[in-house]
Amino acid sequence: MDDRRPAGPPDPELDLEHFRLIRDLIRAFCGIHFGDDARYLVERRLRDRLDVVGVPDFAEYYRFLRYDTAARSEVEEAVEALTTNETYFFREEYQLRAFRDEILPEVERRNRERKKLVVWSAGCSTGEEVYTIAMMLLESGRCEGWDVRVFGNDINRRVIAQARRGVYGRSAFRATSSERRARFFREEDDGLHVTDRVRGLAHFGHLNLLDEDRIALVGRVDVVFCRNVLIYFDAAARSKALHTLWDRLVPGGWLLLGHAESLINSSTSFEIARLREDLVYRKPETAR
Amino acid sequence: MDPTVRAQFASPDPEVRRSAIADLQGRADGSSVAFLVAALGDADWRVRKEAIRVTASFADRAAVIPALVAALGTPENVGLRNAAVEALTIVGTPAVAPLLGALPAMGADTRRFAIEALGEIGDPAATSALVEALADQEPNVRYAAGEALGRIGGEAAAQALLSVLTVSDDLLRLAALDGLNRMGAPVPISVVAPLAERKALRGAALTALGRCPSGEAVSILSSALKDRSPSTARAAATALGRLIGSSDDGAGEATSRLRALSSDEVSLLSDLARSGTEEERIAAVRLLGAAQHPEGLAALVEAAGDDSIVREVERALLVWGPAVLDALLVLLDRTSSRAAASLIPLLPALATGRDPTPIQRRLRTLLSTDEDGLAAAAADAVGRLQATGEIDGLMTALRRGGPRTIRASCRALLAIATRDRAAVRRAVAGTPLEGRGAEAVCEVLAAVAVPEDGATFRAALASEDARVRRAAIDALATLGGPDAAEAIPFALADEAPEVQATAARALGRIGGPRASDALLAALSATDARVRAAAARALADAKEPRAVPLLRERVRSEDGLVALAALEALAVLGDASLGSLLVEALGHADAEVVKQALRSIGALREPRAATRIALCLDHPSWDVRSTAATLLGALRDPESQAALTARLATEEDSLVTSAIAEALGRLEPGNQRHG
Repeated sequence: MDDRRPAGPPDPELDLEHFRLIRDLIRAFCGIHFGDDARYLVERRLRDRLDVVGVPDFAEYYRFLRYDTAARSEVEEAVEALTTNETYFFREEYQLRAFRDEILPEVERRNRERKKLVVWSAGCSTGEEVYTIAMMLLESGRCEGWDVRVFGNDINRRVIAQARRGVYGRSAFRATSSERRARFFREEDDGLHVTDRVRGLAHFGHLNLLDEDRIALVGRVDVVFCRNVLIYFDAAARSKALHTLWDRLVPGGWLLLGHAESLINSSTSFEIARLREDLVYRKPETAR
Repeated sequence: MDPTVRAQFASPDPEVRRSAIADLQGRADGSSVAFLVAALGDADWRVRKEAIRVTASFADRAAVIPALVAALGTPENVGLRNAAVEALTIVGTPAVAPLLGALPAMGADTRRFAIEALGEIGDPAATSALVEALADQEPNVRYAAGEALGRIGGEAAAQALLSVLTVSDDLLRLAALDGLNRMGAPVPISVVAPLAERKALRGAALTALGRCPSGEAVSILSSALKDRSPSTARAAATALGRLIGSSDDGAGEATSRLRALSSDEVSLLSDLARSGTEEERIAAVRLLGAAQHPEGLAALVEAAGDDSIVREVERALLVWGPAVLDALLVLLDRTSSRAAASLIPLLPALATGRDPTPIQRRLRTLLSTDEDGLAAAAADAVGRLQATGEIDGLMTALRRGGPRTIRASCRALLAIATRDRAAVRRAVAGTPLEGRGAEAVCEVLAAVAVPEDGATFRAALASEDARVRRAAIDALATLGGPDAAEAIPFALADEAPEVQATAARALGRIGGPRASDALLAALSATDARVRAAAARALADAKEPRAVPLLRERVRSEDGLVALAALEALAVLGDASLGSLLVEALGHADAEVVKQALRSIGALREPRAATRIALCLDHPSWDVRSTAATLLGALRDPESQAALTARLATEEDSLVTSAIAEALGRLEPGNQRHG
């Protein structure tokens, strides 16, 4: 067994022209935009799809996406393959601390009559952020006995199924202390399971952030985490998504973006709120 | 302007002011300009942003550009000046001449803002004015000119920036270095090496050293990895990573330096590989791979979970070679599924020269996992090893796995069959062609089939699963003979269009009068996919009777059918296609237009270039790009004017480079005359 070279034909490569054609299709379908530097990522993540639909190269795959009667479901499959991003618990903890120590007390004061709190993780991927928020809520000891819901949505059906399952491998714990691991997870053969108490706060839905009609299912929310999601959108889709977030937030509600994101180049009515450890956005109290 | 709108502009509530501006979008007239420019200096950032957006899209540029240029000279309102720069940047090239015209009369402070705007616009028409500004009496103007030239780029800008690297003004040298770094322009090591000694210039100089392929640059950058300043060490790592990724010069020096890295340096690179920008992560992965320090392996393995840089990880591990294998096997259990799935297919290459048994044992376990990606990766690796001993495991995975595992197991069995056909046949023959993975079993059986298997495939044509029926058709076509010629035409009556299309393709492969008759009839099938498959199959079968029918199909509104007909006619060599192709250039589907262009190019008729040039103004960028490429290939000197004219207005980068390439081929000496 001396010959260890890969058997079979070489992996198909995605040339710039077909990358752009496929990218344009995806953008038209869901507003998600991939820059030219994402060509290799797209090639790698869609390579399996060629074999599944039975085409030899990306030129034929593009034609499949354009002409086949199964094109729509295949575009969905492609979007799923391209948007599955790994994340981990307690990511960007400074922002989570800002949520727990500064935003949460304010929301608790404001909502003490109706005893209800809704947090939305927009574009929640495999659920780590949703469960993290739930854990932060439990840690804070606030809103005890309230109707508390942490809702996560994603365009990718597969990641939502994974999120509901609530079972995670080691790489999801790169920023989780052993105390938190012991408190909020139980170890089983197939991985670390989120405890029922945490799961009880978490809700998931397969919703496209740009689907205005269906996104109304989220209801009105007090806080939105939308971290590292808007970066995938083109300007039009980003503007639409921001409008949706605005629409879902209660007056005075909070919007938390990823650390490298800002609304500085967007037309927006959100106010900037400077917290001790973070800069976040807020829907003005006077807005309706 | 309506008094209500005036009142809204004067409202104390910023949201009212912002909404009033947003409402002007598309409705603003000359009387609105003063309000818009005033709003650019509003105290609230949201109002300013809205005003920038509306002002920059203002149709009457002759009215708005002078107002924006004038707004640069308002030292009392920095917000207004910055907003004016931003709006002028969005306006772009039309603002360049007015800015250049106003430059000489501007005060030093205003010149700085105008130069900033010229840099942001990035139009080379400003280059000579900016080169002049490098010698401006006012230091801030000189620095702004350095930055602006870096943004505009080009040879003249690079030369000008290089020339100021030897002046004594560190801030100007920093602006020049930053500009050269932004452009990616080469800088002589003799010039940049001394700059790396100066604290203020060190970071930018180290970045520039990343473009100086030499042992000396490697030496300076390697030493800088130990720098106390984390940002300097990061800059050095990024530059060194770029250097060793782009050139072999200094490779020996780099290897010996990197193999001697300390734990602290490896820790820095590991952090960079985990949390740096993409460029930093790529550089760190390269350096960790070259360093081959055991403490750096964990970060490399984690980085394999990032599809943007996994290719670098693969290279790094392959360079590391078999020595990394044992540690890698341990880390596979601890890393993310995506990273593990990326690394598993590398195992066979890393096991070269070693006993493959431990790897095969691990792959066997992985093949049976529930995680589709991991099991598929294991199947891929088994295929690369062509490990006959794993055939049973692959068969099980093929029957129980997820979709990716089934396909990967199928590929692996096909790969093993090229080495040991009999062993694969023993495993697969007699396996029922039904249930999960049956279509893959059928495909494998087809690869190792004997004539007697024809009956099995014919029976599979009755499967409830359309995928199995398709696989059986392909298998019969591979087997050939009377079984195929007899059975496949019936499949054109299958209830599933995808099965009909597969049958059409198969008939094209086997050929013969009966197949051709069936395919000619299938050109009128209800489903476009079947019609398209039949058109292409008739070309495969070299069937001349198809030509008149295919010419009709070129006029089909359905893009798929028109495209297939055009492709088939090109294969069949229809000599009288000319006018039909010109007609197809007007088809609504860009794919059809591109195929028509290719066919026109291939026919090389006298007017080919003129006809192709018509599509240089097509609304689809891919059509324009195809037209430019074909014109370059034709090398007809008469195309030059059309290409040059299009280049002046083309905004798509891919089309621009296709036109530039075509023009290059049309240069004297490259042209084809007559």
